[in-house]
Amino acid sequence: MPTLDVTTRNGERRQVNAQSGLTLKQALMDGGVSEISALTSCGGFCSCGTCHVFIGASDFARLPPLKADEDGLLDFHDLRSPFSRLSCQITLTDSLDGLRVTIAPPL
Amino acid sequence: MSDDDLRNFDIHRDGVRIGAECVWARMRDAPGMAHSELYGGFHMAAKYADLRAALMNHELLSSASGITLPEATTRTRHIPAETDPPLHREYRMVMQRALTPERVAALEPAVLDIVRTLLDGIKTEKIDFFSQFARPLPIYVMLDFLGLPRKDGPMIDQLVDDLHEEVATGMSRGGGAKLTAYAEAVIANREAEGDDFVSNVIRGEVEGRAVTFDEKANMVRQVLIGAFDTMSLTLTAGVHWLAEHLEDAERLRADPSLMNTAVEDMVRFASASTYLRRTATADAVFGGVQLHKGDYVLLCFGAANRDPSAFPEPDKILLDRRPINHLGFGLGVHRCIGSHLAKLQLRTALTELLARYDFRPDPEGAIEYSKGLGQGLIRLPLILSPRA
Repeated sequence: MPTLDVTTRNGERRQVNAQSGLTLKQALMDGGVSEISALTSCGGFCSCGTCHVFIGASDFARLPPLKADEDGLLDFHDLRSPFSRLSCQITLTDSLDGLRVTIAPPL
Repeated sequence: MSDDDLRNFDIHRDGVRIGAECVWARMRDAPGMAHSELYGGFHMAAKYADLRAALMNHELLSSASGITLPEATTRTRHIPAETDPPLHREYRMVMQRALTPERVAALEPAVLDIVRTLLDGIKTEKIDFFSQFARPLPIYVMLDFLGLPRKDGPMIDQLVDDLHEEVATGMSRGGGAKLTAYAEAVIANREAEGDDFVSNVIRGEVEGRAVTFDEKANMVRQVLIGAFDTMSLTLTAGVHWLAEHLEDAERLRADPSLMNTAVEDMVRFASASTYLRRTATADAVFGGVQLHKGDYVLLCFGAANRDPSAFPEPDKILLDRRPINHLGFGLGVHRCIGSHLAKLQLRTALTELLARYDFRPDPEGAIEYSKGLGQGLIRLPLILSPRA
């Protein structure tokens, strides 16, 4: 069961206990990160592009690689960084314990 | 075109797509949003920034009173396209399980088989690419997706055509009723047996209750309608470009890694879902104009996707265009639910076409454009030369 190190939009830091097998987006919503549930709209299938997060720089390589659909949707974000991901496209595993995640500004 | 003409701008006028690029420029250049007096009056969200803002503001600009212009009076509302959050999201959750990137990727062999079967059936050098390939492809893919027999294809094709005519004219020709009846039969004749689209719809729940029979049939009808014209028009636009730009065809053939961005830029360029409507839910200033509750706003996807402030060289398909933040699939809550399936079909069809043929426009044939909500080439005479 990975624990996530989450920074919300107002800078508050909190630990979110997540379940392996869920997507990062689902784990954030279950963990009460309201910024994600208030915004995202497509239900988590790489369509609306609203569940944008920044991954800690040194954690980024631990994630499965970006695919073309996700890459395209991230292009909508002016504040896209080299460590941007859509949280709906990351399936959590135990090996992602300690992952640092920052909720990005809204689209 | 003068500003006076924009005041009478009509998406259903014969020939409206010819020279539309110039009309779109006038729409974008208008102060605020241009306004037409037809269909009870509507503002045009044509600038990239305005369309994007409109798509992201579903609270002000609602879909619940319909998204067609004029309002469709001969059918029930589409689910989920003509609903608003929060109900919209619940409907969508039922429908999207079978349309995730992973689930769609598993359909690749089936799509390739349909592409090859259709191309194998082409026996002549001169073809109408639209009617002989681009139009049937998504129909057969969608029938497979829904677990329906391929023999229903020609009938569905006619029904969808009739339905668009009904929306354009407001006159019932029976197509809408027949398509609804077909979708109802799909639901009535099936049990929930797996994790496929129809099974998910049959088992669907929203607002803590089971989805009604009418809602289920409506969801099936929605994917049938949404899947066809958009795919056909986009593929035809892309192939038209490659037929006229042989250097791009050669480049795409030689470097398949360009396929993803090429397909995205074809979706932008084609903007096959060319116009859709929203309705203001309150008095508000939007896009530089004062909207009043109940006002219509026409989302002008073609205009915004050719906005030079967002896309350098907007009237060209660039195979490696980046960023590719186009609005061809929409954006926000109503963004195309079938985008992954659409892109799979486009990639597969283009790859196979380029491998099999050199193609060029038939100088003796005439192209033809559709009018209405979805505008693009509906006749594309090509000459195919099999590659050795």
